[in-house]
Amino acid sequence: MDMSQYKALFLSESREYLRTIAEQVVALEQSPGERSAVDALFRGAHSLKGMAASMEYGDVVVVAHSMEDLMARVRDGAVAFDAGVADLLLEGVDLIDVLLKDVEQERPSALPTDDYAQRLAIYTPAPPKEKRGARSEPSPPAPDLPPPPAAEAERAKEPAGEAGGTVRVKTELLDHLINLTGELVTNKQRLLNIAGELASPALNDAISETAKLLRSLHDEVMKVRLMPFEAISDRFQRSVRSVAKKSGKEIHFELTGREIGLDRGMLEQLVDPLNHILRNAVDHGIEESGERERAGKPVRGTVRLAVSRDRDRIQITVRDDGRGMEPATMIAAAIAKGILTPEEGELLSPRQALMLSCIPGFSTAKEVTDISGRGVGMDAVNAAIQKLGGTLGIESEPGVGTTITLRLPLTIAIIHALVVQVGQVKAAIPVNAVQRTVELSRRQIETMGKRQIFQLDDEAIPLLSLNRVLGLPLGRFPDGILPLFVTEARGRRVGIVVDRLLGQHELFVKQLGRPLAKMAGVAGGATLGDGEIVAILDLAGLL
Amino acid sequence: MALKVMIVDDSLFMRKMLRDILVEEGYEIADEASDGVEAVQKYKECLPDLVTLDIVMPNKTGIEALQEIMAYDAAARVVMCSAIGQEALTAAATEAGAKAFILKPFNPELVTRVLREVAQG
Repeated sequence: MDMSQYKALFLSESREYLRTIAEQVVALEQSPGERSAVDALFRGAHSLKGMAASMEYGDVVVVAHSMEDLMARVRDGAVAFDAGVADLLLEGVDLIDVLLKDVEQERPSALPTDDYAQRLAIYTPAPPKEKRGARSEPSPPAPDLPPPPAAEAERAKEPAGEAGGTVRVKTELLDHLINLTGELVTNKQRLLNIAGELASPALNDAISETAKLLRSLHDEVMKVRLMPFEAISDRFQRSVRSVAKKSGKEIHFELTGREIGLDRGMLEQLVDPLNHILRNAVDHGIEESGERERAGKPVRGTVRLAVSRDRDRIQITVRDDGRGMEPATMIAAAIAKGILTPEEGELLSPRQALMLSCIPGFSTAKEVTDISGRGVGMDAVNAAIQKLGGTLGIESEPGVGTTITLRLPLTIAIIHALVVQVGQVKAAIPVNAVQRTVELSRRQIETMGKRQIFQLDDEAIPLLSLNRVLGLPLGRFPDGILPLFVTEARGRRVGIVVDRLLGQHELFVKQLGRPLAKMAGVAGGATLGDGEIVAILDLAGLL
Repeated sequence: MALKVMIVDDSLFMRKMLRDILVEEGYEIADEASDGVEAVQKYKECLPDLVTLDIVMPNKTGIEALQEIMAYDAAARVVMCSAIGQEALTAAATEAGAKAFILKPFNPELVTRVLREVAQG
């Protein structure tokens, strides 16, 4: 069909619709409740879209379609008509006006429309003053939820910043987006399962392509949730200053990487652990000025907090130039506390010895604290970091200083996990907690004292049954092969025997509601591709 | 004898396009209407063999107009025209007695095929 004959009609009628839209926007701003104006706006955008689609003017379709969608949300009560909506619609009118001129002049349009469409798609009015027939409003947060992070509130105070093409978005909307993306990831897994059964190369190709797209979608959505580290960093400056003052030490505090973006949810959960680490560095790591002078160090101690990003990981280091930690002293202290036997102590590497500070009951002891140079609460810090899917590492050189390194995933919603079968249930262990998997022959098991162990890399690794830990019937292993994974608990490696290793999965972590969330050892839940629900285990809390 | 079609759409552009497609195919255009109220009124006046009815329209929506037309003439043959995004309304339209759907933008072959099928019952 030759469409050129309709061009003039298209242009004139489109301009009529644009005029109507602009008029109705102004009318609605004066009386926002006017139902007929809302309908007229919706219709105007809808008709524009239909006409442009017939003419195959894709850019106009994109803009008109976004306007129509936004108006549909206004009409359905999901979004209140406010100045923000009005601005966006008028911007759309201007945008289409320019596009129509391009059509008229028969010149290619260089106007980007995707950004506009995206802003409309995610538009949420900033402060919900009143609910208007709120059909698709998210349910109000439970009263016992913590108040929104201070950083969030501060950000909300900032001007909208139209110049940079930014828009303020409600955090619930972001969470919803992430939820949906997560569900897609779960569904992809389901498709993979089906493809595995069908053995169709074409389907496999399509799914692997989808998986790639899903990965970028997930990354993009996650980027929206990123907030600069800056949002919490001023608290650290304050707390280092106050601890230094209290302990009478002179501290130079350095912070780098404040611009690095971290998941909003993760930022808040990093405040306490980092405060702990910093306070310990000042309180116990940095020596008294007299001691520093005798050691030939500058009187003023230095604590450095550095945030950096390496591909899809975030690394946070806290480095002090204090007295450092002595592995032998740590081991001796642990033996004195009855945490380790002397034999066990001998098996520990220096790195493992330093990690003893993360064992509950070790670092809380005052006398140990003073010797070790590390203070209270490292067990809690370690547990918090593991909960975020991260790892904590300690490096130290006696007399030179200590570095604590946190490695965190960029996001916390989607994790890679090892799924295992224990008794009738499946459980998932975040891969950051799994050092390796082993299929152990029964003959390789030795008995050492009361414990069963096996040798791995010349290290005696004690065996534990996950079934036993969870109070489930023990596995039988008729073929004499015990599947297990190696993890680190209380500063040393342990082999955790399960009934079957089911493989690595990408899981979308959901928080468990009450009362399940209170259960020790369970970090959350997830759905497998086949719809089965698995508990995500928090080994640190479980063992 | 040529079948008489009434075209209902609030957009002149859409009506013109549809008219051209239908005339090309040998249909006679009984009348045109640009909103729901006009559609019901003109249906009663010209009693067309077929109606193409847009859904999103002022005064009365296509669905409301359809209900009134069907109440007036249970044998009316109405084809709904809707753009992408209005799929949710198709169920309501079917329940109200719509015989078929045409998705905008119009594809001439599809339009004529659907109308032929509806005309032949």
